[in-house]
Amino acid sequence: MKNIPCPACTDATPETVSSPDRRKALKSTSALLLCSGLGLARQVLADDAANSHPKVGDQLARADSEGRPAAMHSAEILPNARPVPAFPLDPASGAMRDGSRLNKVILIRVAPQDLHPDVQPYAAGGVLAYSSVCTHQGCEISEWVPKDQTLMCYCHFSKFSPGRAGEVMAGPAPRTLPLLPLKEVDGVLVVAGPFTARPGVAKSA
Amino acid sequence: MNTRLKALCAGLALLPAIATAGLPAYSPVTDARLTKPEAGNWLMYRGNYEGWGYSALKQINTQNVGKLVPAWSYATGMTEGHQAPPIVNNGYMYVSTPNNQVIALEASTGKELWRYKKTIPDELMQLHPTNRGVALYGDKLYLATTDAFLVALDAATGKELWKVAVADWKKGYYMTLAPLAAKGKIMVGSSGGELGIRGFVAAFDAETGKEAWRTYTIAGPGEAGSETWPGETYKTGGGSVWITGTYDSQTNLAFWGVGNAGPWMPDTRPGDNLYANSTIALDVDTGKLKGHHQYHWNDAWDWDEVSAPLLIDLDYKGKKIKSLVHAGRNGYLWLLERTKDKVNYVDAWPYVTQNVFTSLDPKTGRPTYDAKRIPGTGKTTNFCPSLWGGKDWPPEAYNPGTGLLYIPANNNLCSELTGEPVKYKAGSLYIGVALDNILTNVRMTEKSRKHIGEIQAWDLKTGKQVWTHTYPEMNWGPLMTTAGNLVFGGGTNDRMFRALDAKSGKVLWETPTPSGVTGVPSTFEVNGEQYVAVQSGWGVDAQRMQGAFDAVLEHKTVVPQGGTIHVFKLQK
Repeated sequence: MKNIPCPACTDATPETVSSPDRRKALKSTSALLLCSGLGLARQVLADDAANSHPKVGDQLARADSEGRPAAMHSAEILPNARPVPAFPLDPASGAMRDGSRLNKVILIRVAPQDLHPDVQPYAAGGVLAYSSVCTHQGCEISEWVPKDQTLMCYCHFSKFSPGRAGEVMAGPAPRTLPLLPLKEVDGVLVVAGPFTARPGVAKSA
Repeated sequence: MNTRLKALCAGLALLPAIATAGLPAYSPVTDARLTKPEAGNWLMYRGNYEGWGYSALKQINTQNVGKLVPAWSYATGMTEGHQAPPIVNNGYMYVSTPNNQVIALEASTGKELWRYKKTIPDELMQLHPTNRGVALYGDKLYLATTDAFLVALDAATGKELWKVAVADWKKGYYMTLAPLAAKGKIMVGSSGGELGIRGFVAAFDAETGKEAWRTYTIAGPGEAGSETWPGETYKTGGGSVWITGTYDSQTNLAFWGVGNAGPWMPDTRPGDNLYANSTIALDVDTGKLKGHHQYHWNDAWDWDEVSAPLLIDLDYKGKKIKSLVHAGRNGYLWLLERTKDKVNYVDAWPYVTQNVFTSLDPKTGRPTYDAKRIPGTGKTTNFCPSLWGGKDWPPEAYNPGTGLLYIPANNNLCSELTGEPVKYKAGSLYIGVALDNILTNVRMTEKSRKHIGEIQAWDLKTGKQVWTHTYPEMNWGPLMTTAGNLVFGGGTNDRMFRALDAKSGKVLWETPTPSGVTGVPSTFEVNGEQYVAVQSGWGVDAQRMQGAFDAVLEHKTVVPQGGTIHVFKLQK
């Protein structure tokens, strides 16, 4: 059977309990078992908008939104600027899917001449959404290096090229940065598909 | 159960016995052994409770160290900072690596006995992917993990016996230090000073893992020192604890170093900010704070004072002192006195270029600052030493034979920081300086273009510097000294691991390793033969400083990553 990642279950694993309370741990263990064994609990948990994966049709909202999050327009993303962190926004409920760091993306505008043809289908009016979680050790990718037009992780200096599908240009990161495909609907950024690869760190042996 | 399955199960049950066939039965680690450790073993982070990084072994000495050759080496399969000392107990070696792993090996051959791995949650951000070692106590081994768990393993088999959540990693708490084991308790502290944590030291029952006490390093309401934190700032005041404490078995006090106050800009938390940037003395039975000394108040420079002070009884300028010695990240070498219920200031002086302190109060040691050198929100400030300090975490070493203290220092280096407003969000960075500023913070001076890294030797009886060995660029190498009159350390970006003459500072032996050496060295004896062990594996802040150098210097230096355990012995 294919191993389906179950990030919605993360909150329920014993690894995340903040106290060694036995009853709590037992409860969470049961949840984990249900989760991996039956798929039933997964369904229940996934209904929680904040914890579920980005969905096709989601909009995007600034990660530091205060009050009611607003859908972002592609025009808000300026060229040659620091990437803008954002979370998917469920248009139906108005809820941000910010329950997991792995849902977080950074939005960046790439000039048409720098956009590799392979990446074009994922862009919305020149704007691309990449996972904000470095594939090396899971730090936030927050920096823009104008000199070599790369996104950089401050933790260990990995650099990724947004125009070349998140390819690793420097540093210890082992794999490309996953892309979240976008489209533009009346100027609003909308999620057009699932992440191109699993966001986060590739576990070492 | 069918016959084949039975046979397989029987075989599996025998595995630990087979793997350890060449070794004696595991010898439990008692309080008595930890208080007076045998020369042939390296039972804890710094070899003894006093934090000396010293071994009485002298088979390898100044006369023959040139004949050191590899006994064995072992690839850990991990990248990033390999900083843990190989801990050795009667032929059993334990090495922790990044990513929550412990490898148990036969110390004389490098044969793997078992390996433990604790999965790191997918969402966890590893700001400092490293681990600085394990603690041994009774028949158990203890590991503090990146996801803020304390884990107890059976030291002979590697079987997980229990694990407890020490703090919530989702709120920025993580652990990288080797636990401190004493009097039935396992003590740990937490990192996360850049993530708005409230630091603490916590003790757990060695047998059951039940929490015995927790003492916050940041004074809260009702606690002495709370008046030094305005409003709610204590809740996110930092004061992380990420280096193992030292321990005085006579007074039952553990001495811990406390990290800087957070966020970085001092105007966000006007006041002294106790007990950030201090050493604190905690009663091991109760966790009660028995004394403290704050090296500098209202920190503005990211000068974590996390290294625990060394416990040294000495005659300082003719006066007998039960001292605490600390080479501060703030660039001053501190000499304090410890009593059963107090920490007193004795003396302090700069050991690297320092332009922030204008004077120290002769009675209390409290520094006065040059206002031009205090960073703040909305202003740009240049100061020395750099934010990595005169000495960061790599530990000093003390040799009772030479009477000298050895400091792995970075001299002549300065920083420039611009403070900016910052808002707290659980689990996110809470610094108040832009990341691109931090990544390029170093400022070279005419002197630092000549040399930066140093090993300094100080005579603690006179307060005089006896010798200095210099390196062109950084030194991130923890030190070990031995009765063979040697000082061992790496720390440079040329991947070398070296032995120096402890009396003169002359390099007597060096060898390049696969990566850079930021590991704590150890030494031990098996069947009458002395070995020296260290991990090679560049990463974390040494790599970050290299990045900052690459940004400001004309040349770039590549230090490859990948961990290896190295064990050396004399050529026969």
